[in-house]
Amino acid sequence: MILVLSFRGHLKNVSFKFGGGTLSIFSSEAMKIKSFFAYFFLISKFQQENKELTEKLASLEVDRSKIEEQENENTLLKKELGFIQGNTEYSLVPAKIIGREPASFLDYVIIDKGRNQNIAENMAVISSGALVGQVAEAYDDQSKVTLITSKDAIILTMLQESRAKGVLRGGISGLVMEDIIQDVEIKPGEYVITSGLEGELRQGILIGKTSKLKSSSSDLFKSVVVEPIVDLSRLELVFVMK
Amino acid sequence: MNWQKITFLFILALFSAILDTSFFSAITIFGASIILTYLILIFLAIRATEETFIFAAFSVIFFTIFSSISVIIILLNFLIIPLMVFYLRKRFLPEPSFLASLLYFSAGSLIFELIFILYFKEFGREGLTILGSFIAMSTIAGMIIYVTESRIRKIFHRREIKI
Repeated sequence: MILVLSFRGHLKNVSFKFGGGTLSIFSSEAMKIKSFFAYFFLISKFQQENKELTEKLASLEVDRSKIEEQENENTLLKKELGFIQGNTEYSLVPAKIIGREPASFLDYVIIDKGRNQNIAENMAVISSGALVGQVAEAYDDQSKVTLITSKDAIILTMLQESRAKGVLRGGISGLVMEDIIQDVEIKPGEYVITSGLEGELRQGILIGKTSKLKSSSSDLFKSVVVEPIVDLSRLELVFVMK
Repeated sequence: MNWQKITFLFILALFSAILDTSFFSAITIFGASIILTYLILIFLAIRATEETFIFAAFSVIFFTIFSSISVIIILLNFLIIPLMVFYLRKRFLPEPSFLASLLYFSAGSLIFELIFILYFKEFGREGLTILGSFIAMSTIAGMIIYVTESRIRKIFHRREIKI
């Protein structure tokens, strides 16, 4: 037992190296079974969602044009003020999810990319443009990713409109953004993004939207429930930001 | 115990740990999933076989490798609980009945998940939902294993008598 503990990291590396293919096969079969049963339970929900999404799409087209206009204006203003824009180029490495943490309380997934594909610890992992986790451990050809909903996950974030900073914590109760100063007005549906203060996570990566207020006015700081943009229980393909 | 049995238990523990990590963990109902390794352990403990100890040791090793759970929790859940079931079974119930096995699977699942809830301090509604779902799923899956093994055992026993 002591030997296993001492060499836990190395044993994990070897085990995932040889078991990675098997994990991948079982994981993809499990997702097919899950999707098959989920379909029957969710038909009426899909119909309702379809209707809502069609209406939302129309209004989003209008918003999109406004954003484009604002971006153009922003670029112009930055040039005029003499801002030097940092190099924000990054590359995305696609990765398949081949395994998950067996215990429900820790949300980790195993992806099929590792050090041999230049994946390093603390790199951001995204799906559909939104943050879903960070690389916790990198092995030779696989990596373990801490999802944002994990009990272990702590991410420095900010509200996109009010620019108020906070800390996003995970757990089975859901995502909660805490330590927000009291005098900030938080609107429901406000986007939550990474603040960039950690160093490894660049600023501006979308995480979710604010839902309901969790704290009261007598608390020292505000806490708000955050709904993630991506459904983490259905993740199959992610991208690691290098 | 011969080396063939040990090898078989080693492969079974490895296979069930891989299945738990890749297959069963992807299929969740109300946040809980089946942990096959644990169900096999409880089953072996109910049968009061000496394989329980060997399989428990291999399970602890493989879960330490494949999972990020604390080693203390793994030891509690995959070693202490099955050994407790083994002891209770040996001392109080010489022949396992259907109802007794049902109780062992339910109680074992309850204690298993309660340890997680206490460790992660998830005492809210979601924690209780996962607890209830895990108990239900584990008991049903465990009883399927138990009934299937009982039926196969009876078929082989009848064949042996005929011969």
